[in-house]
Amino acid sequence: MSKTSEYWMQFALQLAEEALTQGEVPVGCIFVYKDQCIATGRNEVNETKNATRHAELVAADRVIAWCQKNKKTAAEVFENSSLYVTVEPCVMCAGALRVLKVPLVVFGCANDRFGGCGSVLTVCEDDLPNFGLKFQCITGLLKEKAIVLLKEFYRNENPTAPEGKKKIKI
Amino acid sequence: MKRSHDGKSKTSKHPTAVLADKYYEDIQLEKVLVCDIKNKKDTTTLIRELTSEFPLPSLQHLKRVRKAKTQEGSKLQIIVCCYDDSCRDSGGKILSLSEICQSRDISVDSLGEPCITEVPKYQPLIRKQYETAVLHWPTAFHEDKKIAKILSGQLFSHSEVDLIQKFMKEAVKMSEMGEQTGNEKVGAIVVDPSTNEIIAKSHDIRSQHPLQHAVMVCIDLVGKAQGGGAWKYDSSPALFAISSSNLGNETKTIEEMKNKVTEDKEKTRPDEGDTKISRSSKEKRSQNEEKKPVLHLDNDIKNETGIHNTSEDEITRRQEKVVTLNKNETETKDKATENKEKTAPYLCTGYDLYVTREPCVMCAMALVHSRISRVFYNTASESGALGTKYKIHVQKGLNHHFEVYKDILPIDH
Repeated sequence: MSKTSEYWMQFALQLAEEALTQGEVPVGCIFVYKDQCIATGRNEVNETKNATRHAELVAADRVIAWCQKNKKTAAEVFENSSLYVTVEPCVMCAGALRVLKVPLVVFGCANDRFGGCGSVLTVCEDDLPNFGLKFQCITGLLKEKAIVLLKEFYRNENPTAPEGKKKIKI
Repeated sequence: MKRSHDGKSKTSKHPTAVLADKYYEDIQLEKVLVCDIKNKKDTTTLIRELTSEFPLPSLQHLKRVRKAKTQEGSKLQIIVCCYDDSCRDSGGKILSLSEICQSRDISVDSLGEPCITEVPKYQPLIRKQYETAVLHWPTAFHEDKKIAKILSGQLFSHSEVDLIQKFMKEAVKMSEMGEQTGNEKVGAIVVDPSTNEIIAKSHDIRSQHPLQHAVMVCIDLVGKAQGGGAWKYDSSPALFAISSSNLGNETKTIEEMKNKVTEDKEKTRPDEGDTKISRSSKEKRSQNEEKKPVLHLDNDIKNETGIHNTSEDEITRRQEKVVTLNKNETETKDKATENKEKTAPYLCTGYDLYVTREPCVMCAMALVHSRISRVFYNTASESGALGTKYKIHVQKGLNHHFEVYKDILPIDH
């Protein structure tokens, strides 16, 4: 019996929680291929000093590694996978998901600051010649839980921000 | 003669700035009701009354009164109010002035018949817009000196243009390596403009990984230079990062850095295919320490490129000490340098990126996340995100903006 969307999103939320405990923005995601989780990811920005290490890109690397291990073609796997992510993919990740030709993205809450699937831009559905494929989005799944984690994170400031960029508490 | 022409075109080519659309747009107009002032001595009173009774919050840039030329000399005209439904009867005809002003405290007798006039809706941003705007109605205009210089192609001095071109040529060299290794012909370098030091160089390696566009790789190499980084590059000599946390003149190739990075980062690579969520326990991490790098660059390809001398070139370059970009911003730069001495580099803050073609939307947004300072690209691309399909660098709503310049090198013949 195939597992429900909620099941996979709960899974992604646990990864987001793990990110939070590591002082990262709490976003988690999983790639599901043929009803099986083949890769997980959570934010690793501070850890890698690379601001592009969002959960989706971390997980994409692991999909490629999984494909190498299982003798699969990465392109075929991405094109038949779904991504479950706790927060709307940002503009960069939406671009990456197009490049990878992932057909379906299920996400929890919207990303008002960086969202590329409706909040800031609509990279998922814009006409971009020779730039991957448009993808379908299903939104709002377990969004309250994703928001609780984000609020928890933003209550504390980003510990790696340089002096002068840190918020001054009044 | 031909030679001197060629020489001139090569040195004088000024980069083209990619500004927000608002700088290129024609001015927008809005309809207002305007009346002649019958007696000039009533002007002050009328301005006071109208400002109080019909404030124009969205048209604060406009002068309330203008002097209009007539056959006899000149007359004064004043904006009464915005032209909207409240100025028309049910048949769409303009109401009389006394009907419009109703019981308001306005000296209606001092005003002539109202007529609809189009005025500039927004304050002009550049001189060209200003010149059109004032033909409609007098408006405030504060010229942004930097934008004006950019638009007139005078932002960079000749020596700065030469330096920009020199860095772009480095990116072009990288792009050629990309092509030679069976990838897209795209190269990128990240430069610290306060020292003209190259922090990282990369080329496209998407044949290994679909997301390893030159810009994404270059950003990761900057992370590596700062003691982080996520991707493992199986010792491609074409990719390297300089350790900027190490203030000495040491240049490290990826090969040299790999050992350190591997030590530091091994724990962050969980076993692929592991579907367990919790990876935080130390036990699981230690199990994963044997994991091999995800990426392999073909050894044959590596040898073919024969570019092991890259890092030596760089040391030479850095000893040369070339002209510093943006002399006109020395004050800001001094501050930046001062800050840098105090704190470690943070992502790509204060750095410039040179890339041979316009970044896609993924790479462009990666540059926003990385807080890049300026981007120089040579040619536009079909779905480019720094001018062609999007202008991510000036996108409303995003928390970081940066400058973008294109058309750096003259087109090859």
